[in-house]
Amino acid sequence: MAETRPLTSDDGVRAVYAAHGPELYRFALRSLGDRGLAEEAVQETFVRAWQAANRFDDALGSLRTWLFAIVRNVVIDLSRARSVRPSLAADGTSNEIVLDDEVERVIVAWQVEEALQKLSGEHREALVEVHYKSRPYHDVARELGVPVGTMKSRVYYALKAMRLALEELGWSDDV
Amino acid sequence: MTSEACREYRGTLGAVALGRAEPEESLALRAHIDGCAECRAELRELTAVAAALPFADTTHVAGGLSLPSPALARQVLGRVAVERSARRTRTRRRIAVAAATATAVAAAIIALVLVVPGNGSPPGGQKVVFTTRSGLTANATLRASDAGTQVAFHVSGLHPGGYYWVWLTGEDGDRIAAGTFQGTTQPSDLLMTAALPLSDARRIWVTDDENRVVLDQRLPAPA
Repeated sequence: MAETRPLTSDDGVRAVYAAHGPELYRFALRSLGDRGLAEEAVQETFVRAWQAANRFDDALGSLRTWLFAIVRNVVIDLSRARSVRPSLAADGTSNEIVLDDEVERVIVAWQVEEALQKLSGEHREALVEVHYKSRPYHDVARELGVPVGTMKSRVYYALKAMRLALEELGWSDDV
Repeated sequence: MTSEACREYRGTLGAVALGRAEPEESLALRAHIDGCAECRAELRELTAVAAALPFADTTHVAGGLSLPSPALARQVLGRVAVERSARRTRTRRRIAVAAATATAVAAAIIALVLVVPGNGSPPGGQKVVFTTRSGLTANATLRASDAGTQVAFHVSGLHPGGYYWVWLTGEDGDRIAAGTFQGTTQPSDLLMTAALPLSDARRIWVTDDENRVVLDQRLPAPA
């Protein structure tokens, strides 16, 4: 999609929403735990993006990365303003650094969940059964009626596909 | 370069990355990656993915991708439209204020040349009662002053929070700003000055921030 000046017209806003709105919504929902607040966060994200549209430079990064930087701040602001932290609150402590860390954690959680959704059914099943349910390879293989080697191969390709999906969502293992 | 041997280790790479390989599998892979930079790099990449997996709550995955309500797209466009409109109004207001300021400065310079002592006004000032729609009442008392024409303006019934401009028009047709104000829920008494001699004023009028005339009254020429 041509994204040089993506938010300067109604059609542009419509196109950007169609491309990224649902993802932004799911991230906000995952962070805030409330559909109404999540929708408010998406609206606010687009208003801020529109206000700052002249500062967006597609030579410096993708539109998605830029929008997620904005929605991340919106989520932090809404969390502070409304003291709604059902998904963010983990340890009861409350300060900006903790909130920031929590948002980072929720971002990774959302990225992994979103990436899992993007896997093929076969790959997702492989990871869910073997990793999340900690079932032995041979049990899962037997249940699915495939050789153990095939099961291991599926897990390998599922991890490869996860990495690609995660990277598309802005995830990075650079520390 | 991916060799046939590398292909054979793929399943083991995944299992080792997830920490689910048997000890003998791990040993065999270790022996292979010691001499294979490609598989070593791949193991590092898959291990990083495996380390991220526990962050997910699979109950969020089970239900499929949540979608926002269909109305959200319209709401987003609506919010952006409101913001765009607000920006236009702010821009227009800045232009109007700048124009009024420029006009007032020009008029003040002219007034310095033209105003002569003895530019009197009726005792108690010149009363103006505006003919208005129902619910809106306004009157003004105009007095000559050294700075131009002082306008004591009384108004009620304008849109609360709306921005309004008070203007005088001179006999040459130039409009001179007396000032701006915001509508309130209570009647307002405002004191403003237009840099125009009262003897030159032929019209007093008020505009809103869309530049619509909301009050308008002609002033009689002095006898």
